[in-house]
Amino acid sequence: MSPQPPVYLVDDDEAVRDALSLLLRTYGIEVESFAEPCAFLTGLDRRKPGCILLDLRMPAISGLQMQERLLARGCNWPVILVTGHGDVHACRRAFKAGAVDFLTKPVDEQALIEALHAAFRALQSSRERAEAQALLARLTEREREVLDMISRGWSTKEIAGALGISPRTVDTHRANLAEKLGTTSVAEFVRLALARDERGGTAP
Amino acid sequence: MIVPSRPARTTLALVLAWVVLVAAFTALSVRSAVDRAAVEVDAMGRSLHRLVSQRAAQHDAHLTSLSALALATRPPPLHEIDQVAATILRFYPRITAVDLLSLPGGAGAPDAPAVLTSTRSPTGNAVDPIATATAIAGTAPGATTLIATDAPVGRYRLAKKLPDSEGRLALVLEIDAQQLFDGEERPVWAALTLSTGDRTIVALPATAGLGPAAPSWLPRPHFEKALGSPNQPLLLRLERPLALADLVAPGPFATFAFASAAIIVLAGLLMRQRHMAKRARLAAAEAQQRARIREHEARLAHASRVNAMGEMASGIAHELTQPLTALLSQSQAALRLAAADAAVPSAVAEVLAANVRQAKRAADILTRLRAYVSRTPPRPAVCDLNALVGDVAALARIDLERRSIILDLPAGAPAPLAWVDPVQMEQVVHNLVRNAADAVETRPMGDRRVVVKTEVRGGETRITVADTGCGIAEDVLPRLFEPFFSTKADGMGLGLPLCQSLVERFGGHIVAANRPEGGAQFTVVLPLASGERRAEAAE
Repeated sequence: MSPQPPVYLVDDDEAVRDALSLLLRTYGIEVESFAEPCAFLTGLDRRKPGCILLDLRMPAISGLQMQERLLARGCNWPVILVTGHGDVHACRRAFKAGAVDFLTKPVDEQALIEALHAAFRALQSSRERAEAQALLARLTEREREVLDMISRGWSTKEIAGALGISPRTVDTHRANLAEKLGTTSVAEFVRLALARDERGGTAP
Repeated sequence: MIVPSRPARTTLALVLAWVVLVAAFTALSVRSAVDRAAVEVDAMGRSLHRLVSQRAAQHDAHLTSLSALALATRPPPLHEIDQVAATILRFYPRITAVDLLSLPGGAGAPDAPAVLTSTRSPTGNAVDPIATATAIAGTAPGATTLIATDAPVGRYRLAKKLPDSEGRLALVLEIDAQQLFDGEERPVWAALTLSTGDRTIVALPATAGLGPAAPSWLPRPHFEKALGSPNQPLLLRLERPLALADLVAPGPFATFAFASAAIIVLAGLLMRQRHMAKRARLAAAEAQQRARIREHEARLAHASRVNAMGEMASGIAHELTQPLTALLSQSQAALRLAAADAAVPSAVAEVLAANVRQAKRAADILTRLRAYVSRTPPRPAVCDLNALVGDVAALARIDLERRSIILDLPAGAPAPLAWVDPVQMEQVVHNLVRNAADAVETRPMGDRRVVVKTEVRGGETRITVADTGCGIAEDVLPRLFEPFFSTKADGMGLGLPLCQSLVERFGGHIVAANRPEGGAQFTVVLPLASGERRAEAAE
């Protein structure tokens, strides 16, 4: 397991920044805080992937606008929006834009930690998906077909029958798959194949 | 210069119209009366001329037969001549005397002209032989001469030099010219004159149809023609003196004048009534418009109060929430630190736990406060922002005009449609316009301008409210939308935060900036209403 990703806290209130940073650090979570969204966005490319804890209402750029800017820059790190008032409309819009959670101030410790863990999981799975994508991208068309059939639980014989090739050739494909994906486990094959499907099933 | 009031002008115009109508009627009537009279005079003149010409020709015939008789013997048969003359006088009473003159110059004739014989009716006059001889001295024998100069009034003489060679003779008829016109044939309405050269022999005035005379400059219908007899150069003139009554018949004139006056008065009344009706209609429309604006104002004011209250609660909640968040998180962090450190007394942990509880309690109170003043839910619809801006402008205009502020609405985008609650969005625009108006109020007159414009740009609609004020100070700009922050002495600091939260409800935002040419500019950015929303609205 990779080390805990950092939390980027964006809030214009210094006291809130300090308090939340302190609280999260007691959980061993790395926190970097910013008084305004622009400061965070400026160095975005250099930062480690992490979870963004964003105040909804700030001067200059609101939380929702910042969320949109992140998406525009292709950054799909999980965002948790924190707001002083539970505005249903803003909440719906935030979720539509891909926020993982929506918390109301004052933030309860329990809810915050749960939301962060969910965000970390989302970050993790998106990273794994990205890795799976990278691995799958190296496969040939035929290898992808074979992987598909393996993940459906078909035997070598069945695959050979379906594709009109010899079982020996299927075995060769399986060996190539094992080498390219770095695993011989069928379970791992299935996981990777599913990761691709999660991206909408589009062939690269 | 005195400008007459509108009703006075109308009345004047109507009276003038009536005068023109009556004048036209009079002119037409005079014209036709004159024409009619001319035709009448002409017809009468012709028949009278024929008659008188015939009578005059008879004189020539008498002279011819008498002259033949006088020349039958030498010396002339005076007795026969007298007899014939007496017969002529009896049958032709207008011939009042017949004289035979001897003229000097002939062989055996006396030196002075003398009357050889004379036959006279009772009204006949003696002829002056010398004057007559002088009058015909130069004429050729056989010629007839008309002598008017020495004839009594109303008469003329016809002298014929007899065509003889030795003893010179002349026959003279005295004619009562008046009797050329027989009483029955003479029209009573006509003035008759018979003249020769410039001498009038008979002048008979008209005897009937006289009333007040027509003006002298009017053309007088008349007939004028020389008589047919070449020996009697007499000019017959028939004139029809016109009376006013002939020209303009009083009855029809009065009827027309009255009828036209009635029509004009009626028209005037009708116009007046229509004018009044129009005024009443305008007044009603104006009152309706005013009522509409008042109702609109009331609705906006109510929405404003409701929203301001919500915004106030929301502002208070937001302001308190921040320190409360810090307090809660700090306490929870401290609690965790205390739990990890055995050296911290348990009493401290209890105090921290109490802090956490109280902070959560305060948070609950804030939540309840917000719920209590929960705003009226927005009722969004597809709105044409141009129409919305127009409505706000109509509301604000009166106030702005009073403050000499020019409100400019340049033509914006053709159809900036947004999915918003119209009343709430009006409130936003109204607030921004009011702020802009306050900002330009200290500027000199003529430089107080507020410009509201709509735009559509890349899936967004914008309403821009710009002013020509002093702009926004740099240190104020970032705090502009902070609740309870205000640069106005009596400001609550809720207007702009309220605008912002209203706009945010519909997925938009507000941007404040200073314009490079001076003054501030607020831009409300809203997502363009999508197709499905429009369809929804259409249902």
